[in-house]
Amino acid sequence: MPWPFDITVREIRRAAAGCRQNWLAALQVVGGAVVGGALVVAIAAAANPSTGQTPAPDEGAYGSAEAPPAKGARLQQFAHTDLFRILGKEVHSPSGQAMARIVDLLVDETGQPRAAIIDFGGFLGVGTRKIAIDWHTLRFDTEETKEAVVADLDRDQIKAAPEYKDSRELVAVVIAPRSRQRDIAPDPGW
Amino acid sequence: MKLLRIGSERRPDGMAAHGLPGLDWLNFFVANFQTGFGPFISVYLTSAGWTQGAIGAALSTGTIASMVSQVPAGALVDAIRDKRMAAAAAIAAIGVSALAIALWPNFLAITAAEALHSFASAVLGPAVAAITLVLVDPSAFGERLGRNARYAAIGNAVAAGLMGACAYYLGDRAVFLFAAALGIPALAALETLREADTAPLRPCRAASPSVQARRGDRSWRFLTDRGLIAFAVCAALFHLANAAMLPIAAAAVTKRAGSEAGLIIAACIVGPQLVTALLSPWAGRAAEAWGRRPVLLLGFSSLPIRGILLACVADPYLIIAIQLFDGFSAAAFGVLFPLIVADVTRKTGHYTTSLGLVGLAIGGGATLSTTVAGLVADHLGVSSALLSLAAVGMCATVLVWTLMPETSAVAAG
Repeated sequence: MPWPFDITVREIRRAAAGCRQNWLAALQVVGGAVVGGALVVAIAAAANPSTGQTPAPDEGAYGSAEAPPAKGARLQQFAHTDLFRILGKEVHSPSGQAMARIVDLLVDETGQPRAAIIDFGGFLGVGTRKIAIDWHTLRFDTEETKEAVVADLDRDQIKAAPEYKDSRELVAVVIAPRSRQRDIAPDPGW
Repeated sequence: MKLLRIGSERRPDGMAAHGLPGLDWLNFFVANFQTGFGPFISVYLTSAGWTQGAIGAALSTGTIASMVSQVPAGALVDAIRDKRMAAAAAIAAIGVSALAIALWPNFLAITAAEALHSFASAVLGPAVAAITLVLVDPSAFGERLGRNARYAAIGNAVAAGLMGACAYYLGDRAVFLFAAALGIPALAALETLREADTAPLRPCRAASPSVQARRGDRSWRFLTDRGLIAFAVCAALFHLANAAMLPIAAAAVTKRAGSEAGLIIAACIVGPQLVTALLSPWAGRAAEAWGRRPVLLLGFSSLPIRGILLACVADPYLIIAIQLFDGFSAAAFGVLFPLIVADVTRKTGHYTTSLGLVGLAIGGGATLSTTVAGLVADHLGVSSALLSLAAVGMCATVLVWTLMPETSAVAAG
């Protein structure tokens, strides 16, 4: 069962350590922190959705987070700013206009991402269209990356594409005119 | 003795439909704070990083909970003596679920909030209708329902604008905090109805034969009432034709229009509400003057027209104009739904249970609508989907013509 919440570096470590109990405990701490601060941060959280979800869990309560993983598995650590989540990220046009949100990824048999499924357009969720766009049209190295990724496609290039459906045999993917496609040696970079 | 007479026993002079500003505001704020819980939840959960599967599971829970709770919730409101308390509890529960959605975007909390919201909504609608029934003179009931529908439509329109702005400037989470906050003025509006409602009414109610009939008569004979069954069937078909039209039209706007698409869709949502606000009081008066059937037929017949026009027209701005027909049928249906059910349960009682029953039919039709229209659109194209919806709307209109008896005592007598 998916438990969607912001994955912090600590949680990545914990998941790597296979400590499911720690994971659940972290959930409780998240809940507790939100309950405690709910009234105080309600307005702030409205302005910045991530505010309510950065708890400082007490490591001592469930063992050290630095415990080495068992059976030869290793830990690799990344700075918090080096890795980021992709689902739900806003997609901006080159001119900075918010167009869509990423709702899913399509990968090929080698596991390389080939397309992002975006939820495009609409007002308050009415009239959105799910469209697959080429993974390589997305740029993650911009200053906006924390909030949004930038596509090399604008609204007019995407809007009329066929809708993405799980049930279809052919998946139509929108590719930018000057695609930076790296089919032969796909290197997503992270 | 008629259930409708409860109000007049307390107020022999009759309560005019245009009094009761508290009831106006109640309808306004209830519509207002229900608006956030539509398709927007899926946008919100997407931005919280949910997978499509998890979003689908949470929303399906809400849909199933809504269907399952319609009739029990209606029966509950029938059984509860103090309808105002039932409405207050429902408003509080919806406020809590909005708050939970804003503060704990995890699967358990959202699913629970969706289920709670579905049940509370199934209580709130019938409770507001029952409060209206108690407060106004029977002769003014239709007109008062028109006024209810007017303020609900204004509430919907205002909420769409405010919540759109909220989402744009403050973020998706703010929409639900705002929705939760709107529960407070809704409760305040309900509070102003206190004096008019329960306290002086209780002795009359105890003495009212209709109330005894309602309590004592446990039979489910009202279920076999021809008018109720016919109306439930027509209502189900109406929503089977209606529910998917706006989403399909809006997706077509997204496909064809440029950066103004969002505003055009907003106009497609708000425009019909303004038409509903304008026409509802007229629909209420017309239903009293001409009877229910003509108004129902007028409202239903605008459905196939809208479907056919939407199928033929590509221009995004013209779609706004065609969507105005939605306001026309929504005004007729919004007023006649509580009115016709009140007509057919006058002798048998079980008013809110019957509202729940028709609510179940509506929910079934609406749920099936998006699924079926989606399938047709996939295989045969968007125009075919709209034309099939129009055909269903035509069937609904024909059924109103052939099956639906005139339920108004005045017009039929």
